[in-house]
Amino acid sequence: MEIRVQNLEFGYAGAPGFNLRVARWELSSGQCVALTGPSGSGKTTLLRLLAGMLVPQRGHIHADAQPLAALSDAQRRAFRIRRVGFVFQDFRLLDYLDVRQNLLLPYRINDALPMDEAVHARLETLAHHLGIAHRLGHNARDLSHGEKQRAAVARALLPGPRLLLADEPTGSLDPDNAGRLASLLLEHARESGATLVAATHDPELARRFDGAVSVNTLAAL
Amino acid sequence: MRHRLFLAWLHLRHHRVRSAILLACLTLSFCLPLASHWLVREFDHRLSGRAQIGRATPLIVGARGSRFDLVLHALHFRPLAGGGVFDASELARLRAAQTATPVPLCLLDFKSRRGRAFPIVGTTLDYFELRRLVVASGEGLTMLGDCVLGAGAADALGVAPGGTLTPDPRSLSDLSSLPLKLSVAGVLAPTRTADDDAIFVDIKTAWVLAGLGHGHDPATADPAVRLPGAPTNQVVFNDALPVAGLIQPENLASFHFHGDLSRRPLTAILALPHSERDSVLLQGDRAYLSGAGPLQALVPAQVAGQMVEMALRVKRYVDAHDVVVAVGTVLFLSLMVLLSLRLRREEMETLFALGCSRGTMFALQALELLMLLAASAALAAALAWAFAAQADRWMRGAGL
Repeated sequence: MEIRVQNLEFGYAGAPGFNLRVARWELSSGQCVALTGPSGSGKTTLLRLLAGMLVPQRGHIHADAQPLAALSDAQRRAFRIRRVGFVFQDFRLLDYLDVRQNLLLPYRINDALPMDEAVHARLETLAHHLGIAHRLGHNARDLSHGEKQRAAVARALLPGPRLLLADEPTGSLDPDNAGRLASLLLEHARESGATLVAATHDPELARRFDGAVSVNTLAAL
Repeated sequence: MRHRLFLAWLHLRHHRVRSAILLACLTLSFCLPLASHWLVREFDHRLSGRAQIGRATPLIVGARGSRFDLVLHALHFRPLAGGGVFDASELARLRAAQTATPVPLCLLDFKSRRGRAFPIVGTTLDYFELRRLVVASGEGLTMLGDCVLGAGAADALGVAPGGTLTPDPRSLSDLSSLPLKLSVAGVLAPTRTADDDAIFVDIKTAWVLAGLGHGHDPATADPAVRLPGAPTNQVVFNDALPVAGLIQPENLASFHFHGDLSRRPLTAILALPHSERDSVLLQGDRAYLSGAGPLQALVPAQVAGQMVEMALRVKRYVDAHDVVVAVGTVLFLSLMVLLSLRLRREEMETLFALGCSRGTMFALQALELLMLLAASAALAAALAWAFAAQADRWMRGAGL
C-alpha cells in the first residue's frame, strides 16, 4: 500500500503541549520503515493516524491515493478491517479468550470479514509458522511473553493486511525473541508486498528495515 | 449475531464469580414477587374455591366465636378453638324451615401412630353430593361404623377398603371415648382439597366415636350375667355386658344413644339455600342475628374474601419490600456495569483498533446483560414454581 502524508498536524484536546507535525512523508508499496523517536514524540499517534483510528486536524493522509480524512467513520473502519494490521505494544490479547479465539477476534467482531474454512486453514499455517500451534487451545493469559507477542502478530497478519503497523513490537522481548519477531514481520511484509511501519526504540531492529525515520525529523522534511 | 453471543458468553464464563453474583441478585429480585404472587393466588384459590358451594349463596351455621375459625373449620376441617359445639336441634329446626338443605358436620380429631392428625368428619351423604366426591375404590358409607377415606389419608395411613381403623377421638366433649374400630368402606378420588386428608363417617358414627352411643356384642356375653332360668338366646343388657368394639351386622341393632337426642353435638352446619331469597331469609334469621344468641350464620365467600384481603394487605408490604430489593439490584447492576466499562476500556480500545463498531461494542455488553436477565428470569420462574409446589404442600399441611 502506498502511503502519502502531507502537512499533517494533530494534537490531543487534553494535552496542549503535544503537537504532531509531518510536513511530507511518502512510503511506497512493500516498503518496510522503522519509525524512531523519543518517548512522547508521537510515534504511536502517527501509527494510529495511519490506521485511520485518529483523524488529523490539518493535512492529509492518502492510502493508495484514497484520502483517509474524507472517509466517514464507517468507511475508515472498513479500511482498517480490510487493509490494516495493528500489533500493539502490550499485545492486547483478551484474557477471556483462548489463543485461537484471539486470532479469530477480528472476524467475530466484523461482519465484513467472513470466517470460512480458508481462514481456519490460514490460521493453522500461521500459528505453525509462528510456533504457537500447540498453544492455540490455551488461554491467552497462560502464554509466555514471547508467545503473547507472536500471537498478537498472528492476529494482525491473519486477515492479510496491506499495511502492517507495529507499535514497539519487540519492546518487551529478549534480543533472541526480538530478532525472531522482526524477521517474521519483515518476512511477511516482503512475501505479501505489504507496507510495514514499526515504531521502535531499538536501533538494532531499526537497522534491519529498509529505512528508519525519526518522528522529529518528519516535521522538517 | 452468533459471534457476538459467543463472545458475550465466553466473557460471562470467564468471570464466573461476578456472573454468579449478578445472576443470584437478579434471580432473587425476579423470584420474590413471583413467589408472593403465586402464594397469594393459591391462598385465594383454595379459600374462595371451597367457599363456592350450591346454587344460591351458602351459609355456615356454627357456635358464636371467631368467624375465621368457623369458616376454616367448616370448609377446611381446621380444629375449632374453645370447643364451638352446639346442639343438633338446630339441624332439625333448619330442616323444618325448608329454606335450605342443611348438611351437618361433627368433627373429631384422629392422630395416626406417627402422630399426624386427620380430621374425622361426621356428616351425611349430602356432603359427598355437594362436594362432588367420587369413590375411587370400594364403596360409600352404607352402615354405622363405616368410614370413607380421602385419597391422602388412605395413602398416609396405608389402609384400603376392607381394612379397619381404630380412632382415639379427643375433642367435642368431656365424655370418655370408646375404642371403636371403623370399617374402611371406600377411598375417595383425590381432589387436592381438605377432603383428601379427611376420614368421613356418618354423623351417628361420629357420635358413637364421641362416646354418646354404644352397642353390645351378644356373642361375647358372659353367661354369668344372664338371668337365672332365661333362655340361652336371651341376653340382658346391663353394665356388666361388654361394649362392642366393632360394629357388625350381628350387633348393629344393639347400638343406641343415651340421653336427650336433640342435644347431640354438632360443630357446624353447611346450609345450602334453595334460592337467593331463601339465603337472604336465612341470613336474617333472628337466631343468628342476635348478638346474645349462641349461634351465628356466615356467608363463607365473604369471610374467605376478608381473609384473602388480609393476605393481600400483607402482600402489599411484601411488594413494597420487593420494590426496594429491585431498586437495590438495579443500582448494584448499574455499579457493576459502570465498573465493567472502566475495567474493559482497554479491551474496547483493542476492539476499536481491530475495526469493531461502537454498536457492536455496545451489543457485546448488552448481550451479556440480556443473557444474565434471561437466565435469571428462567431460574426465578423455576424457583418460584418449586416454591409454589412446596406452598401447595404447606397449605395442605395447614389444612387449607
